[in-house]
Amino acid sequence: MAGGTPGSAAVSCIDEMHATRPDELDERTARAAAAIERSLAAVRRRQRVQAATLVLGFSLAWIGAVWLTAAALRIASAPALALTAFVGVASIVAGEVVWPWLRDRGTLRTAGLLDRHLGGDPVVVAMELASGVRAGRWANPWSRDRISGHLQQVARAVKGVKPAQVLAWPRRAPLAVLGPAIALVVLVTLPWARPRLEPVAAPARSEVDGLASAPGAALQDVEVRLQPPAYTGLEVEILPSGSGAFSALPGTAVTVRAHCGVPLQEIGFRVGGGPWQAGEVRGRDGLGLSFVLGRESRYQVRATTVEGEIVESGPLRIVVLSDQAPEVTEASWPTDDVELRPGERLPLVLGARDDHGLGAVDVVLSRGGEEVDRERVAALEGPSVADLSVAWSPGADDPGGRHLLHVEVFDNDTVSGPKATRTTAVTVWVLTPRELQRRALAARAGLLDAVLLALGEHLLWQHAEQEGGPVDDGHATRASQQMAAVLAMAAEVRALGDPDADPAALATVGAVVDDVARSWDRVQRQIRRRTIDPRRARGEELRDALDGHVLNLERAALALDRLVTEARWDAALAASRDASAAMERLRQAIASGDMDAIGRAERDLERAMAEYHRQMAALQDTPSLDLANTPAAARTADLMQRVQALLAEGRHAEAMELLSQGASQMASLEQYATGGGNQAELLAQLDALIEQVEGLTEEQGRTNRSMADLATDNPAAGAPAGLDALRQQVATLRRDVAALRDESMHERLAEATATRTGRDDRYLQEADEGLSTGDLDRAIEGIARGDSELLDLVQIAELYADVESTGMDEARFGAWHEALMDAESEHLALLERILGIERQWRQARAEAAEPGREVAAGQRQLAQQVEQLREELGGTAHPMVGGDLQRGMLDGAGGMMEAAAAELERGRPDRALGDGEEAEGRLRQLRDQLDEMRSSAGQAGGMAMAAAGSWSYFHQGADTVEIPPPERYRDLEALRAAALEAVTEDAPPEYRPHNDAYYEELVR
Amino acid sequence: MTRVVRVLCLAVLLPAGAAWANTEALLIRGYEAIETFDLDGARAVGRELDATGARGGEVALYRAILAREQGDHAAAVAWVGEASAGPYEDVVRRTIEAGAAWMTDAVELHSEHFVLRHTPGVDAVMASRALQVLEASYEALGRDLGLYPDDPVLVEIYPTSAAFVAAAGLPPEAVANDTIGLCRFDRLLITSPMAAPFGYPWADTLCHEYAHHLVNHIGGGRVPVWLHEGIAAFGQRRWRGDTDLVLDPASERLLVAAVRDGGTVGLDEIGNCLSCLESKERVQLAYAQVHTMVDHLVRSRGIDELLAVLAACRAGADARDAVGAVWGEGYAAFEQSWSGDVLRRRDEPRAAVLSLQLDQPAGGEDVPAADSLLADTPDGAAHSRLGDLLLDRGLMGAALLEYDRAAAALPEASPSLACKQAHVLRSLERPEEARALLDDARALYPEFEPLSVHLASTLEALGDRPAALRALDDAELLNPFDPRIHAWRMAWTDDTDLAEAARQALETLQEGLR
Repeated sequence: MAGGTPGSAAVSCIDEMHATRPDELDERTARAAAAIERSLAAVRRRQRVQAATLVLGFSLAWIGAVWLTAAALRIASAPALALTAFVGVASIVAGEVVWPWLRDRGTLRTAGLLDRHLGGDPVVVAMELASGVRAGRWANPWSRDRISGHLQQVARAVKGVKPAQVLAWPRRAPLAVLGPAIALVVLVTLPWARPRLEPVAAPARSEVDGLASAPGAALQDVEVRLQPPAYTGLEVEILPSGSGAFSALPGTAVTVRAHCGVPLQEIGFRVGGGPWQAGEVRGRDGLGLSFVLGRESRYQVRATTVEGEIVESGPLRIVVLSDQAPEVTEASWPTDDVELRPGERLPLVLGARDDHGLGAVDVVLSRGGEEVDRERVAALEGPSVADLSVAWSPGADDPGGRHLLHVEVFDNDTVSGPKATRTTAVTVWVLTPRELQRRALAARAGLLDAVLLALGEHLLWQHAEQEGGPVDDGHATRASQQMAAVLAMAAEVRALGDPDADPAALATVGAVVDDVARSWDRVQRQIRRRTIDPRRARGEELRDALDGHVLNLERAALALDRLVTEARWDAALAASRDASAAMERLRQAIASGDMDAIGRAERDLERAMAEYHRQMAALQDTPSLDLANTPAAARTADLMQRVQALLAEGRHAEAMELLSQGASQMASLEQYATGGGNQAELLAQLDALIEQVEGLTEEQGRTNRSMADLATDNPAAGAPAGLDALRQQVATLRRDVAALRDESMHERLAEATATRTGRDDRYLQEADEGLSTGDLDRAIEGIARGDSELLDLVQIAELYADVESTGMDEARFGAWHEALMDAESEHLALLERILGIERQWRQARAEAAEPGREVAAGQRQLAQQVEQLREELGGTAHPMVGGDLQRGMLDGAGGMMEAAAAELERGRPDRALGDGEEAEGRLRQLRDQLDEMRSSAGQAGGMAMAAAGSWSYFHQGADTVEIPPPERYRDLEALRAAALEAVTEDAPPEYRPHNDAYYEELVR
Repeated sequence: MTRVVRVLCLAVLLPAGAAWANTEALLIRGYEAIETFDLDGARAVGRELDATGARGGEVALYRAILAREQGDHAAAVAWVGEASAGPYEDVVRRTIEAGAAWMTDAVELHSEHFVLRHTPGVDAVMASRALQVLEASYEALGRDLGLYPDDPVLVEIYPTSAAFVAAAGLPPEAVANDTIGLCRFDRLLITSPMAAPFGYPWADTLCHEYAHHLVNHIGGGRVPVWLHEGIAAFGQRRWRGDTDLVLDPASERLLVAAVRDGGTVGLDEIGNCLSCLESKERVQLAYAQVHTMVDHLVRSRGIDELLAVLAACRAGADARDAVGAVWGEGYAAFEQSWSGDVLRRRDEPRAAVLSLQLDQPAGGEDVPAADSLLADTPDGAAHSRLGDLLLDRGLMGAALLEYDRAAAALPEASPSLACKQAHVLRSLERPEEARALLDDARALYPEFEPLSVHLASTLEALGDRPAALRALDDAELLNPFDPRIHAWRMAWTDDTDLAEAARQALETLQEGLR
């Protein structure tokens, strides 16, 4: 045995090593041995547990095997048997894997203890391992590898002994034998009662039936093979013998294989209570059945042995699963009724999920409870989950009125047929062309109303401006409100559109409404300028802008009036024709004597007449085209009533006669409308006027476009020539405008144009340079940073207004405007500080004039403030604020204040007075200059802001337009005069002239 | 045998031929009597024809024409049915049938000297007033022309222009030139003012046509048209007691320009149909010419000389020669004197449109949406339209501004625009301005009825009720179908009879227009 196994070879090797190093065993070995012994005791305990586990496992495994066999023969409950088998197998696994692992861990820990206690002597460790090998402890392959590796190290370290296979198969064969033996005992000793089965069919539970088993003939080794329907994509499932009842989808192909234990002659089976069908006899005692699972869940198998014995199974029930309908979630779904025009899309988003796969997606339209249309919008191929985006749009031939729209999602069940799930129905109103027209017409009529209201307000405003009387700021406010309504209605009209309207007329309306918006912007700019600086307001510019805006409003009103009028005429004529036709039908019905037909025709006529009168009432809104007062229209008013009365009395002939008269009246109305009426004439007039004012506007606009052409078409050489051309065009325009009859308005138009374009050549030249290079930014920046002459920002702003018309983008414009605003703000802050210092300085000087007052320190403090201010000014980057001129003035003022303070300290107030005056003069000069610059900047900034389309300004934080009322001017003047008078009277005599000069200048 | 047959044939045919020759002579005499407006003579011929037992198409035609002259439409229709076929017979038949179609069931009213017929309906509103005007004309023109007819004069009012033209048998040119009245078939035929958008001076027209009637009888049908029309125009306002020469500004401007520039209408050019001149302006000028010529003759030589001219015409003299004779220095001298008078007495008249074409009335306010002035001026029409739209939305101030712009855009004053402006001015409580505006417009367009109605309203607003009622009277003489006239009269007048008449007129209008 020692040399026969790898373990014995290893032991020999170790023994050999031990023999050669006996001296190495010392006390340390003794201590370690004690510890190792304790550890080994634990290992041995685990070994015993392992053995017990294995015995249990094998026993149960055998029992389970027997029982499974019984289950296959339908004599036991498959789940219970399966549980038994599982426990058995688990015990075996525990005995074979878990416990050896735990044991080996304990063994290795023992080796580790040796390492630690014995100083890692490999020989000692090898000896201990060898003892373990001898004890048969190393069953785990992992442990064996470790030990083997260790032994190799030892061998190399000691004398090159080759490692040996140290492990051997544990002696557990008895355990394997013991398990079946126990199982056999159990099986034999257990009361071998007849197995009781409990068939289950969902959802009901059947009574417990006994399974009769003929002695010696029973179904055994039953195997069920389930092949689910193809659409599910599921794999074939084979149920082992004894697996018990099973469930499957309808359409599943079921194949049953079994043995009966006795030779068979015939196999039959049946579905439900149906006829027996032949099965297949396989081999001597085998049987085979194949069928497709339907909705029926009861099956029965019958076997006939060769001896004629019939073995029947009890009713075998299969749980027939059902394929569930899809689940639908509405991700984006309308909550209210939806109105759609033909061609407009209604987007719907939903999610779908199905147990075995999704199929088609339909959009279904129903009306009056009946499905009228179905459209397949998607054909999915089996995914279980899908996010769907569906869009539906009514076709041109879809009838108007209320529709219910829902989406149906189908699964892919090809056996029982696709099952659908419906979404929530959406109520959709498909607008008919007539409804669309009506809405479009109503919107246009609303826009016309808004434009007219705005026009009315602007006309009064314009008149007030032209008269030069007191300006009512309510005009601007109301005009702003009206214009907001106009622009909102214009957007609605655009959104609605009208495919049946004359495109040219619609385009005309769109163009003039755009013009209105533009001219309103211009008016707003001028309003803001006046708001910012009433003293510098140029009334003629506002009037000019207002004139242009009123002209555009007039054009818009006329164009809309034409459009609305035409539509109303068309509607009225259509209603008139319908009514005429209805009359004729009624007349024919009366002639035929068919009372039913008469009744129908009468109702038709009633409806037609109602529509006719409705349209006629709508025409009332068109004063000069009102047909309601024409004799034909007036005489049809009570026609229906009279016809009905005659019919009720049976006076059919008279009714017919009356209807003929009505038709004649309708015809005359139509003739009036389409022929000799004033519509065509009026429309021609409107056309002519529109053409005329458009020509005028175009002529006016041409001057601006010339600047643009100058910049873009001929940047290098075009400027001077462009200016000449511009002036020539202005002259031409003035002649043309003068030729028009409305002298008052058009003269101003010409003057404004000439003023703007014929202004001082200085800034035009600047504009030319900028434009000729095409670098607008550089042109503007250059001007803005130029010398003090060019700091007349009003002119710059004017220039900018021209530049703007060349199409410079708003971003650059906004940046420039921001710079102006910043400069203005800095100016204001600076001015306030200087004013404060000046005020304090004057107070200090006044105090200095009083005997015994110590004021030099205060004056010196003020001088320091001036110095600080000067330093801050020096750090300002903006050329307008940090100009040398201003800094020089501050220097001078500060120096003089310092000198005045020094003189006071020296006790020479007379000299201090002179220096103080000088300082005050310089401060005042600086203040005035800054004030002037602020005013200019404010004006220019306001205009720039207005052009940028914003309402805000640093003085006017609100979005209302305020035009200062004249009372404000008067009050301010009175206040100033009173202040001047009071100060002049109360000031010390020596300062009165200075005060006078100051306040006079202020008032001026 | 042969001789016997010949004798027998002659014995039969000779009396027949003699009888036919007698009938023809009677017919000739009868037609001559009709042409000279001798209805008694014509009726006598009829009786003779009855006595002779004459029959046949010619006789039936004569009797039909005689019945038409007598205003017996039913008999005329019956007789003309027996008349022979032929172009002339067809013309007569159409005229008779047209008259009968409208007048067979007509309402007939009688005054002392007139019989007035009108179709049932709204024309009843003007019937009694028309008879008053006719009786006044009877007296006034009787004094002037010395003729007071014994037989009642038949007057027929046709509801539409088409009916009038068909019954009068007028040529198309006359229709195109707005012929609204005619003295024919020994009766007066006029178109109802209802047929015109804002009426026309129907009372003056009745008097005008009655003057024709008298001239026909005085001149025996031999007075030329130019003199006929001159006398009728001269006498058309006599029923008012108005002896002044009244020319509307447009006619006056035309006349002065024509005389000054030598563009007058020749009397030969007028021929037998003044209304058939080439244009409305020429018709208007011709009327102004002959009107002022008669006026000049009467004012220079007296009414008796005019009667002498008529007598001469009846005697077969040429009218121009007759005028020259009574003038004393020949017709050329008369014409020269007339031209000088025209140029001397007429200052340059104010501008007015020659022939104002009116549009349909607008709703609510009975103001035409546009007249030809506005229609021909796109700027004005557009501003006026904007004013309408603003007015419709109650934006009075703005509407007035637009109307003012429209007025500024027009080369001449527009009466419809003036009405709109006046309406807005009243609404803005500025009636004084409205009155001034309306006075100016009425001076230019006296026949534009809405101006009178608006003036009445304005005067009432100013507290001048008598003047307001007078303005309503003026309006009624142009367009009696304007309900405001009767409604306001009923509200304003203290005269209970007048108020009751106004109430009835309103009821008639409401019933007739229903």
